[in-house]
Amino acid sequence: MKFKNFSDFKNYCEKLKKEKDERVKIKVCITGCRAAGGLDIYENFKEKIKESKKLKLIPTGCQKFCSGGPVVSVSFDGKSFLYEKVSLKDVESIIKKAEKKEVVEELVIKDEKFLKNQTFKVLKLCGEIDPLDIDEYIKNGGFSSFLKVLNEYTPEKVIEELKKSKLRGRGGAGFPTYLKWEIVKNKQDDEKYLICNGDEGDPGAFMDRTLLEGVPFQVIEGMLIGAYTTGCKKGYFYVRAEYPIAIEHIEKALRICYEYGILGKNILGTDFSFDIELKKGAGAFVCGEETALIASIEGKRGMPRPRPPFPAEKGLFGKPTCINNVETFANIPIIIEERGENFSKIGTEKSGGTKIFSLAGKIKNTGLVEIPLGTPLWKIIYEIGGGVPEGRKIKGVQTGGPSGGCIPVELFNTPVDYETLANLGSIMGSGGMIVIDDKVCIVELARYFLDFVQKESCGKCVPCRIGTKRMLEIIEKITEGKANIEDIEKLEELGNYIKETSLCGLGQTAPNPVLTTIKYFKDEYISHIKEKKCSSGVCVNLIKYYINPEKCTGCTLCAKNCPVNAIEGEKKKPHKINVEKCIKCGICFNICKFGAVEKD
Amino acid sequence: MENKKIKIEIDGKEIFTEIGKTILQTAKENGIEIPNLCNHPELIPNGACRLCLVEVVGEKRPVASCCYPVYDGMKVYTNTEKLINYRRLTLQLIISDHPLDCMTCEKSGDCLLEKYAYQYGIKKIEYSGEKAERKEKNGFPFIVRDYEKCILCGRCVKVCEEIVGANAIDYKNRGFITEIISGFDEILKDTECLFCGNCIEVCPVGSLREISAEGKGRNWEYEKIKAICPYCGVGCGIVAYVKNNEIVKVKGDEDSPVNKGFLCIKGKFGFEYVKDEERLKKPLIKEDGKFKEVSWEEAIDFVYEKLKYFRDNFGPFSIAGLSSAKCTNEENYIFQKFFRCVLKSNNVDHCARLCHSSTVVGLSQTIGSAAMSNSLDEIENYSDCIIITGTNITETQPVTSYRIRKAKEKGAKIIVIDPREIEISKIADIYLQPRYGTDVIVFNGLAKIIVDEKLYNEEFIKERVENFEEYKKFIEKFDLSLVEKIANVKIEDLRKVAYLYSKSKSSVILWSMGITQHITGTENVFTLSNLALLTGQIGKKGAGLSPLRGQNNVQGACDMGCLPEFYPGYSRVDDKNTIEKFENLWNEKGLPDKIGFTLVEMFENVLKGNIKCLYIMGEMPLISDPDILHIKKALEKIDFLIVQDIFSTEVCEFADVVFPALSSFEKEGTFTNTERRVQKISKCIENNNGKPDWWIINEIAKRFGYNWNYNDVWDILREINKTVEVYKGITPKRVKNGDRIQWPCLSEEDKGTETLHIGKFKRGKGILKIVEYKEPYELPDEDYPFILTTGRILTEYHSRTMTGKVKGIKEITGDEFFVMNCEDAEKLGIKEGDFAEIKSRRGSIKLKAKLSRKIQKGVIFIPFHFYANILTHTELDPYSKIPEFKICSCHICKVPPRQ
Repeated sequence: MKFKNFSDFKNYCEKLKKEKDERVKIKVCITGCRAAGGLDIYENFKEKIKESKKLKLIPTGCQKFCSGGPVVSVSFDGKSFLYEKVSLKDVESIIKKAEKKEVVEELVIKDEKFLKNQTFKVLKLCGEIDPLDIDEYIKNGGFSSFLKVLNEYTPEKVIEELKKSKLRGRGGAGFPTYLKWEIVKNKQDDEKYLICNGDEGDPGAFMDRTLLEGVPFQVIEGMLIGAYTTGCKKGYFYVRAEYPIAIEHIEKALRICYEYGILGKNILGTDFSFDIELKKGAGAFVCGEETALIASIEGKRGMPRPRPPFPAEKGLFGKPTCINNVETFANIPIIIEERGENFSKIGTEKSGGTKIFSLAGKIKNTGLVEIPLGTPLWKIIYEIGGGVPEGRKIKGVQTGGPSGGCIPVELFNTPVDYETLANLGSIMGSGGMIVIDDKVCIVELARYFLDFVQKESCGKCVPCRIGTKRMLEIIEKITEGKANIEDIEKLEELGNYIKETSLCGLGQTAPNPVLTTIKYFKDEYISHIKEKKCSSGVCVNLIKYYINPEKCTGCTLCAKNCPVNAIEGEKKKPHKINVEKCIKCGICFNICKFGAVEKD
Repeated sequence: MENKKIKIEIDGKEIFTEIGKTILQTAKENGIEIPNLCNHPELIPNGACRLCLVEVVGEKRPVASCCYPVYDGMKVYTNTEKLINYRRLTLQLIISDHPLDCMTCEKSGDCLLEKYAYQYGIKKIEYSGEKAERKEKNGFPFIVRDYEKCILCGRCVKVCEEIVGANAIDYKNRGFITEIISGFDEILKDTECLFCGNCIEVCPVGSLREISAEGKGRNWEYEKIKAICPYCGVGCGIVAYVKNNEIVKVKGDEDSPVNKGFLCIKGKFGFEYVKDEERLKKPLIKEDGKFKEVSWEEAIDFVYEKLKYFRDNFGPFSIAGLSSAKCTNEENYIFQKFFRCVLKSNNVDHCARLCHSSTVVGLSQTIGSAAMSNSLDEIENYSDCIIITGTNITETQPVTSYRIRKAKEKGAKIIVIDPREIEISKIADIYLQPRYGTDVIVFNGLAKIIVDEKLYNEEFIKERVENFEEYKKFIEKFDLSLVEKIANVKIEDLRKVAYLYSKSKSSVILWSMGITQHITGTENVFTLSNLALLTGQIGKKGAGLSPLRGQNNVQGACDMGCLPEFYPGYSRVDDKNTIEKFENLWNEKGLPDKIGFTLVEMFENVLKGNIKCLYIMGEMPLISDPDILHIKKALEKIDFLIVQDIFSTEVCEFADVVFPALSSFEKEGTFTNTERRVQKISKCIENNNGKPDWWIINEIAKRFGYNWNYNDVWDILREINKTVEVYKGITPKRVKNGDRIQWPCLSEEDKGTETLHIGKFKRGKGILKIVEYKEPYELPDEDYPFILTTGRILTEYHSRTMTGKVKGIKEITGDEFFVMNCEDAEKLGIKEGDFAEIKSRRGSIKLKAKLSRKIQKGVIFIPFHFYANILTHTELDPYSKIPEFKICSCHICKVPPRQ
């Protein structure tokens, strides 16, 4: 163990902070950009830079601007430049320019507002430092909050700060964090547990993943403060197995913390002891639900339990358990550093601070977005996201993943907050935001999410297990043009019933995508049912392909490629599609060079 | 455990209840019915079916009343229009995924889904759709697993996990296609399943059923008769489903305070023997080495003449009798009365000699009474610390182990002290694994820590204990390092036990044969008794000394005086007052006042020529007694042997007369269970071939000229009410009324006694006993290098007279086996399933090897059902005459398979 007492470590931190490094820094995202070749680019830089007195190469976590990936940033003299779509051939020129403190202009991102309009607090260090370099984290103020708490704060004082900060659980339910911690703190029990919920399962959501990959020490620091406050001696990271990089980084970060003496028995020579163990999720979406997650850690099948008792009273192994989301923990060091009062200066009256969203879907700039709570939707979508590509129209935005709802463009004035989104029938959830444009069929969208939650239902309670299945069957009928108008009422009846009667959050929110789309896009449902039409041209069964005889040259390409021989016609004469035979695979539509195949 | 009283409102009605209860519990107690499918009073609420939703003022959405706790001032509505609508929808949805074959479903009439569908008027399916494909799975040999009907309420999974602890089944898949499977979806027999059948008991629909009852009848056609399980000492309440004089299935009696509806494999499925073809049908007399069927008259006359002959020519003590802990109180009572009154012999004993005689002697000396201090309910609900030592509870008293699990769930600390790493040690907070035969050292060590660290209860000792100063001097000198050196237990661990045991509010010690079946059996019991007396962990709810009894009525057989040293009610035979009392009560002069022979001594004395005639009622000594070959010699030698049984057992081969008796399903009477609870058995079916044991004895007595005026079994109980003080208030009227009273019960108004020793011990003050360590009689040496220990297994019962006739049980037990440590086996070249010969100084047997890491090196275990007693020796505990079944030495070598 490197540090056996508090002052040694504190002195070490102070010393680190005074160190100055004037080298030009080249930061390469090796996490989120890995899929696009980020790691190869990093390796290439490494090979070419080797030991340089002028340059310092830093592997980083996500630099937020995902649609520009692979991204590389160069910083010197207090300025920073972000390069997008970097390829291996750019490495050389980036190095050469950097050595001269110059910028490769053509690589610099075009749309600057994506980063400029955000408020980086939790994500401040993400993408800026090597995720596994603890000294780098310390240099940037890391662990100073923990040291302050350990040295100066009573648990009550921490809770007071949290209360003032107005921090609410970032997992989606928005329970005041101070209250949860207070309940656990007040429980008199030898065994208490702290859990960090990293089972981020919403399709298109990657906030927690980014934090785990990019700033693991920040999350651990939050957990340390949590353990100190609540009196837990044992903590767990629960991270889904589908996040191998996050797992790798957490594993390594934990090992480093043990080496430094920041985790384990008698941390830094104090009587505070805390151990953290990593548990991997096994792929069930429902394990993001806290009671199911707890069951999973216990080695049981991940199924939610009824509440009360709440985990804070009777959680893991029947003991009081403080379970928070990754992002919640990542906020803690910031609150201590800024003080609660200052933290709550941004945000809304009821919720302080920022929230991270993962912006995805049919939008120009995708990536991570950190904004103060209460920011209106339009600002996120247009000012940060840059709106939809030319010629498209936005229909709405799906917030909160499959548990959320689809908010129409007319309501984009809505400030993003727990209550406002709930009032619209959606939820904030963990922060997924998927933009929907006119090429997306709303009914199909609802069907997709319903199919997802139906398959991920744990199977325990009747409304969720069978109810969502019956809803799915009805909505499938609609997409196939076999439904009647009363089916909309049935969907609403079942949906409201499932929301009210399900055991856990999964079921209670499962109908949201259907109910909100019925609420805001009823016309689309009606046209599917009455006119048997899918205006977005997505619902296969409702599409009719036909050949426009005026455009058809009779090249026979479509007829040759039709897998069911549904296209007839003589050479050089307009062809025709036999509707009876057509399976609507769309090959002819895509293959025709003259745009003669049209669909309705 | 008094809970705070609060006031709540349900449907506008004010109700007083207490913190800790759920809305559903409170409603049910107040006669308000809330429908529910997944809830079961003994299981942790699951909240799965959502049928029990109610509205609570202040809650955003309806809450599941099965798991929602009450609080003061709470307002609840159980029947609003909205809720009724939701319930209809829930039922609609369940039924949309359920076959509609109610008209041919075995469960019809007893199905909860059917009941609620009727109640809520569900006539057609509004939300029809695809049905999940759940195939029927293999539950051979006992369980139909018809998952097409499964509603996924989860009760079966929970009972298997929470109550039984087998964890044999769980959910598979997610979403609509979720289903219940065993382990990796193998056939049930290849899994952890113990075939207790409790999953069937709790299944609310027809998904899980008994194979034995398939196609036998509709629910309303069965006569449902409450009875008591004939197997072990727990005394579970059962309900026999009878049609056309056939028991088609057995269910747990939910009203029983003993088992609350749960059973084990034997109670649930072990009834097939009753209708077995091999049942004895006629009295038999042996002529020229062959049995011939005779009339009852003839057999009884013959026995009368023979008994008279031996009594008159060789003296009363030339006759000995073994009564049976399987028979009723009434039958045991008349058996000993017959011996004492008619034959004038005290040579009466039974298998209690082989199980808890050392407990009886030990506790009689230290506190005056040897029955379990506590009820099972108390242990579940009041004991904060439970020491389990020398009892493989999950196999020998499975239903008691369910209670231990519940106790653990409710916060009790569990301490297991056992040389074998038995199943229950899995849930132990502390598990100690001492070497064989070192109990005295372990418990003396515990007492030493308690005394040295002042953990004893001074006030209690002052008021209720004698011999403390002398004991203190002794124990202070005890060398604690022996605990590590000889018993191989860490002192640190023992210290934890000492603190937990003495500091807990209520601590109880449970034990059975692992403590008693030693030549130091009585002394082992002394050391346990010392612990309770030092710490005052006795004489209050949930605290005490609770020996778990083996047989269904071993407690009763002892209470009835089927012991050579006691008349009924533990009145010593060598006490003048006893003789006087019984001479008056029985109106008979010259009752014997000399202590008779104990069980093992009887066979010794047969060989010596002192005993000429033996009367065996429902026992099979050729399995259960030590050194079987020795017993066989005695049986060969005996002049006259009378056997009364339901089957022609091996011992019948040696008999001169055999009487066909009735099983407990065919007669009336009472059994007294392990917790002193007197319970009525019932005639579920008619059997005209046999006679109840009491009737046979009564007839023989009549030949001797005794007319005791017993018209039925209840006349005998009336006499017991007069002769056994603690049974005074347990009258036929109350027993027949379904009361299950724990003795002492001193009047008809007395509700019985749950906890013993409150305020005072039967002997006045309790006495601390000084016990020095002694080695077991026979320890391994060069020729016989292994320790052999014996015991029972879950699926079998004792001599297998009954379980051996149940095909399914045979199937599950499989081949006869022994257990040895993997490392030992490797050294000897023995692999799992190999045959080995196990040899001792007495004899040898060949069995299949099962290898385990849970048994210590150098030890082998043989279930005694498999003739282990060919190997054991007959050295006895000097106090109680119990043999040392638990330790002898043996030799093992691999042999080719038996033909």
